[in-house]
Amino acid sequence: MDQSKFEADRTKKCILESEAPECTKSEPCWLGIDEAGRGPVLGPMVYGTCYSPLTSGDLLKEMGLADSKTLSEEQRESMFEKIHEASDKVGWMVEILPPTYISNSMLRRIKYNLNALSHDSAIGLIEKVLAKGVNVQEIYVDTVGDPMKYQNKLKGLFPNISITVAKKADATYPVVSGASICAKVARDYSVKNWIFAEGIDTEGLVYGSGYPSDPNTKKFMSSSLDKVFGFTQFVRFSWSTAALIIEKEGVQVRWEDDDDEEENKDAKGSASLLTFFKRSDDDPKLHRHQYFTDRCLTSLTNL
Amino acid sequence: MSMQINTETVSTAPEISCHLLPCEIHHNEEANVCKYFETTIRKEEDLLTGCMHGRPLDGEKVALPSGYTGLVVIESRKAATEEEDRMLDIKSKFNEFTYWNLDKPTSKEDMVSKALQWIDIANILHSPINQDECSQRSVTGK
Repeated sequence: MDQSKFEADRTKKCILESEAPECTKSEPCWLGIDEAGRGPVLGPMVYGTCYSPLTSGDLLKEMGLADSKTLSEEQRESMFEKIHEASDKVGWMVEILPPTYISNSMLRRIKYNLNALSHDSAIGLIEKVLAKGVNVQEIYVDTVGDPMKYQNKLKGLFPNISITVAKKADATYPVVSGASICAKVARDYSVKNWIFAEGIDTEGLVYGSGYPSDPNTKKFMSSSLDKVFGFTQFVRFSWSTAALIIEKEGVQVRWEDDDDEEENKDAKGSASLLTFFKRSDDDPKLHRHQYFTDRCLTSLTNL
Repeated sequence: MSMQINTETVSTAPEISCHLLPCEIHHNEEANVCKYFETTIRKEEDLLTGCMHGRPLDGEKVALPSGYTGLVVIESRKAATEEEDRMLDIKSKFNEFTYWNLDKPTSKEDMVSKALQWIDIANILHSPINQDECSQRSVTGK
């Protein structure tokens, strides 16, 4: 899978796609959606879609498309080759969501959670396939969350298309298996060919599966930790595993929107009545003018 | 006790890039700014973005006002007693810096931009008044 478009900037999300086969524009089609790499703390999450004419069901079955999780990496790659070879009948598109994009989204001032992000990526893929002129009649989506809620959301957006959202749809519907293979191949490729902008040598580097529970992943994270900046752009800072390692092994970093427990403590309880009768030595004339306090300007005579 | 900066080395001090981040970093040593922070910076149509600990930042480059030089100083030798003068050496210098907001586009209302306005006002306040230009009389309040 040629990912040079993504590799030009590994911090930005990126769409990779095949041409839409001519027959998918005239004949009614189904479209499957699945994701790869949702759980890992390392590397991108990839959303994938695969579409073909409804009449090509047997073709997809003959290709032996199955849930990408039950296949080995080599098998998935050869399946993707088959999808590629059937480019007159089958089209595909993936969106690579790199760790930086995921972290930045989840750690905004107003949090954008992983579910919303996933839904938006899936919806974006459907819209982009429709914009290519593909005649989509049926959509099948694999989900990890509540299928009904998600299904209703999609039905509201695409009222003229039949929509099925189901758990483990990648094992049930060949077109979703196809999507899952495209997504997984893209994820594997991007992880395998990751080049660290931070200059970490990838030669002989072991980072395991990328799942937080994998000891090799944990070891990689601790050993590549920068005390001040935390991790490389290969890591999802928004995962609690990452945040915990920074908190334990990095230097303390406080943000203006961190909950300040100290301040809250002061707010509790009211001032003693006596404080209102106390003589104040506080001369307002000695206060700096608001112009300076507004700008955080103070005079400095010592460091 | 007073504090002095050894300015002899100003001309030879290396120029560095400088960033003002919207977080408190409890660390007063060297950091891998080039490798871990500057690699996250992107520029699109004059808008700077970066990220720190996975949090999105919006940045703006600020040139120091003319006549000013930014200095990074280091106290090579701590004064032994409180009475002794403290001497700071110049480690590096800068003529511009980038300040960063946490997930908020930069604007004229940002503290840094506002604080720097004082320099212009101070220049006017502290420059001698030319009699010819002084057409206004001070208000006496009567």
